[in-house]
Amino acid sequence: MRRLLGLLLVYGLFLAQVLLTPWGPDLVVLAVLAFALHESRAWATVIGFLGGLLLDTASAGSFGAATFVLAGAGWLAALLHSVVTRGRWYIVVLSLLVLALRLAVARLAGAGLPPLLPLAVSAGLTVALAVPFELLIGRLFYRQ
Amino acid sequence: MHPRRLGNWQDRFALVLAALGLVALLLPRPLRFQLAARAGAVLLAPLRSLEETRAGSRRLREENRRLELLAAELALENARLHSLDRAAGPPPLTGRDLVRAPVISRDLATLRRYLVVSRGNRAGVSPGAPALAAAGVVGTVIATTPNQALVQSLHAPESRVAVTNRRSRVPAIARALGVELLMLDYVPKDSDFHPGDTLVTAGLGGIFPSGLPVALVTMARDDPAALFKTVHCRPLAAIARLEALFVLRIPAGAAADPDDDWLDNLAPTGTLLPENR
Repeated sequence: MRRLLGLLLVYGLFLAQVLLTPWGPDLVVLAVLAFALHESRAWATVIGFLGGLLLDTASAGSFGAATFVLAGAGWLAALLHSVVTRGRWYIVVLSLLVLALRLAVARLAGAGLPPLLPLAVSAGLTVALAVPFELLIGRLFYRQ
Repeated sequence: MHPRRLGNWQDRFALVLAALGLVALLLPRPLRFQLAARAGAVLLAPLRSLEETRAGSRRLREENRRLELLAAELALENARLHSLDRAAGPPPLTGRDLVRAPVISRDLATLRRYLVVSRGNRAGVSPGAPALAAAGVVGTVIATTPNQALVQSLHAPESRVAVTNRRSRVPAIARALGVELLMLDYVPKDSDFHPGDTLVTAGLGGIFPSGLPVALVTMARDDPAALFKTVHCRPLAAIARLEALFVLRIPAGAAADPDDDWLDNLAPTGTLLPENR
């Protein structure tokens, strides 16, 4: 039930992100990483895969890029969480890494680069919100 | 919960999913577009229905605006036909049309005595012009600027409107009573007024065309100690809730004589504006 609600939340955040301007934070990436920290590696990969698939439907030119990167990021986050038991600092690094990798893979797939300034603001907001978002998901879904 | 050992089934499953993403990325470009379009059609359906709802709402608002204008025009046409029907009535007014004027401000004390609308001289709105809603008369324009006009509603203490009982044809003068009601002055004790009667403009003076609905009688009492009958009524136009009204544009030269102000609805030249009091 909790996992189903988590997927619904990811979908809701995806819809909100589509409505937001390009300046807004990447809510799907934040949600995928936040859930991945609390789940097993398999389930974290599933959430990443589905979240990436959602993002790919909104960017037809690089279909597959977000799916690939977020599935890998979900797995990596869950792995890190099982290894690093103290602190949540790595989610900040992971969010920045995911954004950069997603952009790089999409560029390799032939997609154009988005405008630099909105991209920088969006990335900054995403990184800034990473830890608070993870804490919120922990409180709401895992009672931590 | 979080097996530390790498290479178990969870990692193999993750590898398969990541590989699926990579396969999608390596598909030919047209096929990728096709897949994204099909998936997007399903996944973005809620947003599309939201957009359709918004568009529908916009369309309904436009339709409502158009129908309001139509209703006001029909009320005017009805009044014009009514004045044609009565030989003794004033000649029908021609060359007039309606200007839709959104309400942008109200008097802060009652929210219904004075309204400011966002149409002024430039839209052909001039002082003395009647202000109407689809349901009935709202009041009179008493001052204008190039882009705004001040409307004195029926609830203003200075407002007077010559009315006629649509059923019994008894004339009277309506003025504000408190914040919500109107009362009729000089109603003879033997006159025929009953609760539910509709009062329409009498058409005296040539500004308000005759026959426009004004108010509904709510109480008619014959007090033995009073000289006249006590009649209370409620305006048909919901003035406190109006978001827009219609101002009757008066062609140059058709305005009433400003000296002839024995009925205030003819030319409210003596009216003191709220800020001058």
